This record gives sequence, C-alpha cells and structure tokens, in this order.
Amino acid sequence: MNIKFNPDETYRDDYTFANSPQTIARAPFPFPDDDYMYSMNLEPHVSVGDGAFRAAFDIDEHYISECRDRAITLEKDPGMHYVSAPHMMEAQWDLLELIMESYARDYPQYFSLERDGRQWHWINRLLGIDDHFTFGDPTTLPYEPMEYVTRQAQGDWVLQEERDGTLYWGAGIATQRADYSLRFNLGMSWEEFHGPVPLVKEIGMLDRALKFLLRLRTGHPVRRLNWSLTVNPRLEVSAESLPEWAPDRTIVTAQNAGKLVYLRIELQPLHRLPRSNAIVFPIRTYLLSLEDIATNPAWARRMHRVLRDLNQQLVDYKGFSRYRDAAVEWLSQYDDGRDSEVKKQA
Amino acid sequence: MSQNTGTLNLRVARIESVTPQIKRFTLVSPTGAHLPAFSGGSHVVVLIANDRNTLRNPYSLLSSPYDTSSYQIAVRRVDSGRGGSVALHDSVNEGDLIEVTPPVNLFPLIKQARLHLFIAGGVGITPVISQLEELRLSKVPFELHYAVRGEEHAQLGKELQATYGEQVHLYRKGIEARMDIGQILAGRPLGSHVYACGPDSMIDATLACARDLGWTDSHVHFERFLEQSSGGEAFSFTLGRSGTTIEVSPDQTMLEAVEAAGYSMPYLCRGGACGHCETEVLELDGELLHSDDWLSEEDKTSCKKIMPCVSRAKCNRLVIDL
Amino acid sequence: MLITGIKSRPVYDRLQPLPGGTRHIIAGQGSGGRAMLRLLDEMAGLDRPITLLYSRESFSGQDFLVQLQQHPGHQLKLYASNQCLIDDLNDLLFDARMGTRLYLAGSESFLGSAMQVATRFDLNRDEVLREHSGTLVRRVWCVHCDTYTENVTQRVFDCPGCGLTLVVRDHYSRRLAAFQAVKADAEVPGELPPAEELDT
Repeated sequence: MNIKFNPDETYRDDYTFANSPQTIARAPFPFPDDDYMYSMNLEPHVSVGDGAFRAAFDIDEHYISECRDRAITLEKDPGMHYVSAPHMMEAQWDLLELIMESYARDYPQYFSLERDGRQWHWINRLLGIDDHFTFGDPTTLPYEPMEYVTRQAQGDWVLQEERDGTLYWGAGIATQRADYSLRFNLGMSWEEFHGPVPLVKEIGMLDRALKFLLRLRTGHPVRRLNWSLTVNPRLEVSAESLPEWAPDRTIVTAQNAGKLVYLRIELQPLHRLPRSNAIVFPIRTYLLSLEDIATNPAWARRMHRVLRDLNQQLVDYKGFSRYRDAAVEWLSQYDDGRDSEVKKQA
Repeated sequence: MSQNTGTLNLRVARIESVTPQIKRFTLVSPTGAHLPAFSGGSHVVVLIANDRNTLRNPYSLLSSPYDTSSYQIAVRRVDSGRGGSVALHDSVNEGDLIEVTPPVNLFPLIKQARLHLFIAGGVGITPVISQLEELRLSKVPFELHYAVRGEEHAQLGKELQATYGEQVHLYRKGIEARMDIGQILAGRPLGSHVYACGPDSMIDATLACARDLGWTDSHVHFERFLEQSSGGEAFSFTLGRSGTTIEVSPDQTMLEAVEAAGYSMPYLCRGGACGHCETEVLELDGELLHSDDWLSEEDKTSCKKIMPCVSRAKCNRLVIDL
Repeated sequence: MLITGIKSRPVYDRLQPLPGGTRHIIAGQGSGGRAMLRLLDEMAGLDRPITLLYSRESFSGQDFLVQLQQHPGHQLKLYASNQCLIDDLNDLLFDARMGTRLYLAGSESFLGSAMQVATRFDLNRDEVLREHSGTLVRRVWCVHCDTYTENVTQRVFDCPGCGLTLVVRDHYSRRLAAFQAVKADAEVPGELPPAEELDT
C-alpha cells in the first residue's frame, strides 16, 4: 500500500495543510458516545484493519510536511521543544530502537533497518536519509538519539521514568503540544503534570490510570485517544507561543467555523521500554477541520452533541470557550435530532 | 504491537555446569533472530511440561541487555521442589526447544542512585549479573558482595571478579571471613541503594541492618526466589445464564478462559483498571482473589463483584452473571 | 478567557519526626522557624544528632532566632539569605550518610529551591518533609522570556524581563521551583483577566 505524500504543506502563516478524503476516513474519531467525559479508555494496542491502528506508529500523507514543520520549530527556538534529563540516555536508545524497528516492519517500502551487532544501518527513503551508526554511542549520530529519530517521526514523544511509585517526565520532543511548556513540565510527577486537568483526579481516574501504567510490560502496549480543538491547522500551539495563536480564537464565527475550527485528535500508543524500564507516551496528532468532519454525517451529528453538551470546565481547560457556540452552531446543520446509529455498549 | 502468543520458543544452544548444583543454559532463537531487549534484573518464566500439568519456573536473565543474540539463565537443581529444575537438569539437552515467556522486570536498578550495593548469595547472583552488565554503561559506582557455600560454588563469582575487578567481593565459606552486612551498609553516602538477592536469611539480615542504620524502604530492594510461579492455580467457575462450566488454567485469566470456550464478554483494557468487564457474583463457596484496581474495598470484601480480566478465585463453586 | 482557575498547588506536609533516622537536618527560613521549634519539641529526648540551619531572610519579617538559640544541645548555623543556606545545604548533603532525614520549613520559594538540592542527592519522600509557612507569595516563571520573579502577590503583573502583562497560572514546576505565567491578554490585547490578590 503506497501513500501519496504532500511534500510541503504549511502549518502556519498561509496554512496550506489539507486532508485527502482517505485521510479523513481513516482518522481515529475520538467520540464513542454523544456525550464526552474522561474515561479509562485504554485498550491493548493490537493491529486492527488497514487504517490508523494497523501500524505500531501510524504514518499518513502528511509525514513529510510534518517533519519539515518540526525542523522549522526546532530551528526557531533551540532548547524549547526538545529537552532531555541527562540520565535518560538509555531510554533514548530504547526509543530509537522501538521507532526504527516499528517503522521498518510496518512500512518496509519507506524504511529499512539493518543490524550487524551494534553497527546499524538506517534508511529513510521519504526524507532521503541513509545513515550508519553505532547503537549506544551518541557520537555516531548528528543529534542525541531521541532527537535524531523523532525528527523522522510523526507526532510528539514524551519519555516517562518510573521512580518512587510514580511516573516522572524525563525527556520529550513536543513541537505539536497544546498549550503547555515542555521545559516547565520536565521533572514533574504524574499527579503534578495532570494538575491543570479538571475533574480527572476527583473521579478517581488519575490513580487508576497510574496503577495500570505501572504494570505495563514490554511487548504489550496500550493505546488511548484524547482530543482538543484548535483554530487553523496549526501544530505548534505551545504555551510559549500563546501570543501568536491565541488571537485566532476571536475570529471564529458561526459561518466560518467549518473552515477555521479543527478537531485535534491525539492517538497515544503507550509502550514500556525494555532496558530503561521507562514508558513512552507518543502523541500522534490528526487535524480535521469541521468541514472535514462533516463529510461523515454521523461524525458531524455526534460532534455537534458532544460540543454542545460538554462540561464547561473541560471547555475552559481545552481553551475554546470563546468559540464553542460558533462551532456548535455551525455543526447544528448536520444534526436532525435522531438517535445515534452507534449505540453505547452495555 | 502486542505480541500474539506471549511465549518464545527458544533453542538450547549450550548447557554448562558452573557449580555442582547450578547449570547455565544459553538460549537462542531457532531462526537466529535477535531476542526482545530487557533491563537488568529481568526474569523469564520457563514452561516445563510434566505428566500432570505445566510447571512455570521463573529464572533471572544473566546475559547483557545490550546483546540480545542470546539469553542466559542459571538453574539450581532443587530435589525437594515440584520437579521443574530437576527436569531441566536431567531431561533437557543441547539442541532441544523450550518455551519461555518474554522478560519481565520486577527488580530493576534505580536509575537515580548515586551508589549501587549488591548483596547476593548462591543462585541469587543471577539477576545481579545482568544488572552489572547494564551498569557498565553508567558512571555510577557499585559494589558486589557475594557469598557462596565454598570454593566449588564460586565459579560465577570468579567470572565476575575477572570482569569487574575490585568492585566484586567474594565470600567463600571456609576461606574468606563471613560477610558483614552491617559493615557493608554503614557510612554510605546519600542516594545509595542496596539490592539483596539470595536465601531468605540473607534478605532478612539485609533488611534488618538497613533499618538499624536508618536506611528507608525506598532505598532497599530485594528479590526472593520462590518455588511457585506467577499466574495462579487452576480453578473453574460457572456462567450463570447458561450453566456452562469454564475451566481456568494457571496460565489463563477468567476472561481468556471464557473467550477460549467460544463465548464473548465485555472488556476494554484487560488490565483491571477500566471497569468494562465488571461482573456480578451470584454464588460463591470459597474466596475471590481480587487483582484489580477498579472495585472499591467494599466491593472486594463483599465479594458481590469480580473483574474477570485479572482476578481469580480459590473455591468449590463460583457462579457469575454472564 | 484564558483559564487560570485550575488548582494544582504542591501538597505540603506537616513536619514530624521521620522514623528510623540516625541524623536529622532541620532547615528553615523566616516564619518557618515556628515549625522548626514545634518539631524540636516533638524530638525532645531523641538521642540522635540534630543540625539546625536557619535563614533570617523573610518576606513577612518573622524571626525565630532567639527561640532557636534556646536549644543549645544542637548545632545551629545561621544565614542572612536563603541562597546562602541552600548552598551550604548542598555541601552538607554531599557529606551526609544514609540514615539522614531532612526537614524543610518556610516559604514556597524556599521549599522549592531546597528540594532542588535534595533531589540531586536522591532523597525520597520517606526521607524529606516540607512544611509551608508564612505567606504564599509566589516565585513565578515567565514562559515567554524565561525570567523568574520573586514574591509575586498579584494574579496579573508586568514581567520585568519582557514587559508583557502576565497572568499567573496555578501550576507549579518542581524542577524550576516556580509557578507558570503566560501573557494575560493573549486573545484580545488589552482585555485582561480581573486583577486579584493571590491567595497568600
């Protein structure tokens, strides 16, 4: 199966990003019901079908453009979008191995990995990379192992180390992060970095999720979905650059919401890493405009109801208080009030 | 992605006697592929079929986490056990295939430590060997104090001395003085961690000395070597709505047993955390062994509910509402 | 409207003797002296060495030096500033041995900076307690220009580094030992959140 890649879409300024119908259809729609609340939506990350859940780490038509956007962001602000604590080097090698093995296995037409003991040969045909290096020796790579491999991977990646009965942020590359600061979060414990998230502690989910993750074993990854909204298909919406993208929240109207408002789907296939015993949290982002969503009437109807009835605390936390009503009004044209086709599972 | 079966079929490439009671097995993939990576202190569970059932014996990996062309385990022959080690010693030959589970680590190194101290006895040295391999790439200092029952049991210790030099202290009964755990732990800098692996008496002595010296529990780590395996004991339960009896083997969860019998039931995380598989208990003559993080303490003690994806039972009769 | 009402303060302890310790280091500043004295009372009769470190730097102006000097059985080291105390604490912990217990008392800023040192020496939750006292004035980090501002008492203030008007979020970073602040009128220039005294 070959993908037609978009070589130079932009995720800022003129925003030439656009989804093909295939990309829209395969997106992992994050709403299982007509109303949304946080839940323990972790499930075994097994290969299913031919879409976004086939590969361990999914690639789509935006791969090349996204890697370009990452490189631009990293160039713009060194030290801001990639950070790693010094003792995380072992975990970085674990991650490099995991991504390279996965990509080479799931997309052999685009990636190859040959290993002769510790001498590795990596080929990335999409980005024109052909490198030899020694596994475990950072001097044989142009960047630190984590930065090297994630510059060639879609999505953000956060490494969490297990210590003192909880998880701590040890390293991360986050050029697509939604309103947080990587430098600020580095070193935080599970409870601390979830601090700003409303309700999740009160409903007991935070502790349960942590206990579950501490039992995660190599070879048995799990996945979950999260979501947010953004104005324009802008990947870099960090806390640091808030003044650049926050004003766009004021330009959304009930007429233009279809074009301007994007559903930001985050697919998180969580893996335990073998040598470091760390856990990698990939955050693979899919951007779908409301117009894209509306090409599937069932999705539009569901999303209308989800946004209309969403708990205000979640709306505020996810940052779209100012344009929720406009988005809901735009989506209402697709909701005829009938019962959902997909019933909630008993 | 998730591996399908959960066990690896490995070929025994080599068997060596390292002490009168311990044999070291080198295991490789029959296809020559590399084996799954692991962290120091991990173990695999070897599945040993005997007449009546399958024994599951855990053995620590000795090999380097950075060279996964093979795994190595050391098996101590225990005549008074259930026969697993005897079977491995007496019935397995080079070239045979054995089934093992992928590595799991319940005894990892603490990455933030400023000093690692290892206290080991006899076959308890096994997880330490792979931990030392892992430490080779770190700059953090370590010491190994290893006690064995005499010169003829010292081969593994001597191999470690040859590799790591002065950081390894060997205590052979009758030759060197007895290991003084209190002295080993005294006066150590902040951020020290001690890892004890050996007979119960050695572990208990380490815990006691550490406590006396004011070490807190978060700096003391140990692994006891138990004869029984992970998993559980076989049992059966009844599906209330159809009256069907489901047999659960030690290697299966209730959920898996239900599925293996051709039925389906709700589930999501398969890890005891999400609540999807919560099921009412209709009848119970025995006890439930809850392993989940979903049910409240009240629910667990009242035994009116169970999470079939992780929990088990020890009972004469169990009927659930499915 | 930029969200600021999310509560995620660090949770502090109440100082009490940690079991099993063979040596106790009690470090505090300003109003933290009160908690230090209470702890010393609870440790009366404990036959273990106790070292006291006290900084007289105090936003609220409280000073417990005289009362601390009533415990001549213990070594008492004095500092004019929090930073001096923390630098000395680093040296002390470098030489300290397993069995040491650390107790910290004072402002959030002091606790955060002292914890940065404690973490360097791998002191875990069963070896160190932090009791907050005095005001809750905040050390704040500007996410846009990387500047730290001490003793912030207002929800909205002007960053001395980049000049932007910032809103202080209720989110704390243990590594930076500071609260996060972002541009207060990022959505509509001039449209600021209501001024509010921080709960200090």
